[in-house]
Amino acid sequence: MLNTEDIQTISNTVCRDMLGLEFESGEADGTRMLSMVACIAISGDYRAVVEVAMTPKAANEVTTAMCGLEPGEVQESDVADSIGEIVNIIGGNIKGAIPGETKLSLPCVSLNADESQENSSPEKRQVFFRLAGEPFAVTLIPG
Amino acid sequence: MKILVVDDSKAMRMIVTRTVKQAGFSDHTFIEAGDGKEALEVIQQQTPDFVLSDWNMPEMKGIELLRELRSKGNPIKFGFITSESSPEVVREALDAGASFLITKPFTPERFRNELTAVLA
Repeated sequence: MLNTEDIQTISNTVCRDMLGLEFESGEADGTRMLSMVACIAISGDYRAVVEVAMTPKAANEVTTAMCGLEPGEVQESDVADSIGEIVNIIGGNIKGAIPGETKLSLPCVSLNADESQENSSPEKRQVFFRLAGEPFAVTLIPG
Repeated sequence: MKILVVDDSKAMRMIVTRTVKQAGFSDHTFIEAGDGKEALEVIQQQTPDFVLSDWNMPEMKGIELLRELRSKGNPIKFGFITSESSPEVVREALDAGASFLITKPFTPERFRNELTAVLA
């Protein structure tokens, strides 16, 4: 089972190498809605869901860095595509760090997620970051 | 040389093209497809010299695309770019006839090493 430090390292590597962005360590911030959410499922010998959640501003940062766009040029479809690809890469790297035969699903994206539906599993591993001052969370939910 | 970049993510197609250019291959022509099925049509119509494909895509996965090409006797050079990094996936890719598999996240150096060897 991966611990939060493993998830932090994988997430940092993905964002540094793919986006040229550095994440700062952060902590849970209940005052900010992480309404932009992308998920991907790992199935097989190990089952889990990997989720990235962020504010709209953080999603915009990810999208402009990923697509090489100016902030005013970003469309909703670009945001969905970009955060879906981020969870795909983080999920793929988590899958690669887990022993056994597993498969990765296609990503699923919500640009208007309701945080009150957050998974409260005691087994979940969650790390918080700051991206350009904005909160960003990566969660591994076994099950 | 014409390089076909296959990925269901438009953002990733842009990043792959940008990174390959940064790796020193900016003189080549880049064309795109959004999944394996579309790639088959593009390959037939535009006859690229090289395919850089994602693994996990809707409609037709990258490995299915490669197997379909080889079953038709098409020897086009083929490399995977994927977040799937397990030894099983690497073995499956190479057994099917891929030249290499680059794991996301990647760097221009990784592309330079693999493409220089394959395109030499």
